[in-house]
Amino acid sequence: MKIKDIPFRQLLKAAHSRAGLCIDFGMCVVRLRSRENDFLQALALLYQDFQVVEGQFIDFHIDMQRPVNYRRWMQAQIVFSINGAKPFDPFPVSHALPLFEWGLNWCIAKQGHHHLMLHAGAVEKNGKAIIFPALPGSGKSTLSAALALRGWRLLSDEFGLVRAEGGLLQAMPRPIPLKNASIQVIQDFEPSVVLGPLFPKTRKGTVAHCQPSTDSAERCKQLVKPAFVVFPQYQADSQTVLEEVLPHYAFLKLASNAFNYEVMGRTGFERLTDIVNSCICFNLTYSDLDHVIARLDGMVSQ
Amino acid sequence: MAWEVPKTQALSIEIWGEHAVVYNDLSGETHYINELAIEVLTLLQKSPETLISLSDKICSIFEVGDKGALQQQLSQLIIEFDNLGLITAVNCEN
Repeated sequence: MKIKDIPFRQLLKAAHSRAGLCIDFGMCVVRLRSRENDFLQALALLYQDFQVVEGQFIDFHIDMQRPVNYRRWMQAQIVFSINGAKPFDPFPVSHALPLFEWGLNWCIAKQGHHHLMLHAGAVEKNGKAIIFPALPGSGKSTLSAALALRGWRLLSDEFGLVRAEGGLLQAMPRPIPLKNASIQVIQDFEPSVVLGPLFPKTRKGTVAHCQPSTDSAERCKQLVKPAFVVFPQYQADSQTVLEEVLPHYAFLKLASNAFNYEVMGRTGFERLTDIVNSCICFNLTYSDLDHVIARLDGMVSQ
Repeated sequence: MAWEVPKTQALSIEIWGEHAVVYNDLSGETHYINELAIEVLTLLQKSPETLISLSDKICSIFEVGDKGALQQQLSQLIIEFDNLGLITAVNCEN
């Protein structure tokens, strides 16, 4: 059953219980336990089209609870626990959602070695996926959000997950964390966008999460073949420029971009050479979202 | 002295024109190599070569004017390949 089809009181009861609230994210199932109702309300909004499951194998057992000391009440904090371990410093309780999102990313990056994990956004249209490998600040989240708001299926804004066997892309369409000026950019681009609460003064500045589309969430288990690799770079006032790059250049950029290329050994090498040999690879400089989306629409309609 | 890619060494070479990447199973490292290095590594995968035999074969592949400079370049390349664990020295008699 989808999260949005379950009465909120029932969701709270599940999250408060020992059994927890089990959510299927496509590539993994998370059991979440928390008593933070504001956090759970934001989570229910952003993940409204994801499935609540029972009796499935749980990949990550996550608790979001207040510490057992005076910070439970005074300047209250929240602690992220994974399988009982607490890998992070506590956050202010008001920042529980960003902590959950970053914590879950950490879990995937640390344990998801059955995938080659590219630090990349990824979207799909007409059965053709584009991977956007990029460093933070290059605009991949903003671009991924804009494409998702124009009907592209969001695969991920953070992880280009390439399956070790077969090399298909695995979706992980979680809410896109827009940062600082990108929040207004996306609100101006699509006024009907559904955003979660604003979280000021995080480590990355102000953050608001963009809800993934119903279609993206419903198809989160559908694998897709990568067709293009686009290395994006936002540059204020620039024209949209797509320049094809040579395979060895793309390979080296992808290898340095992957979270776990060296851990994957020969499989990582083979998956990357597969991608480079089967995809057309570009450098992209852009500033205007409508222009760049028109260009990318053209690429996948051919 | 001759050099070869050890028979126990599994190298994967992906060539794109004048550029290639090599994955070395034993070290788990990937190396980016140029056109000359591709030819040298490919030759050393087939059979052991001395510096002289290697430079003769490379001369027949590329148009080389200055054979002395080529041998110097090959000598440096062999040292680099050896340091990276891609090749090993063998006795000429073997």
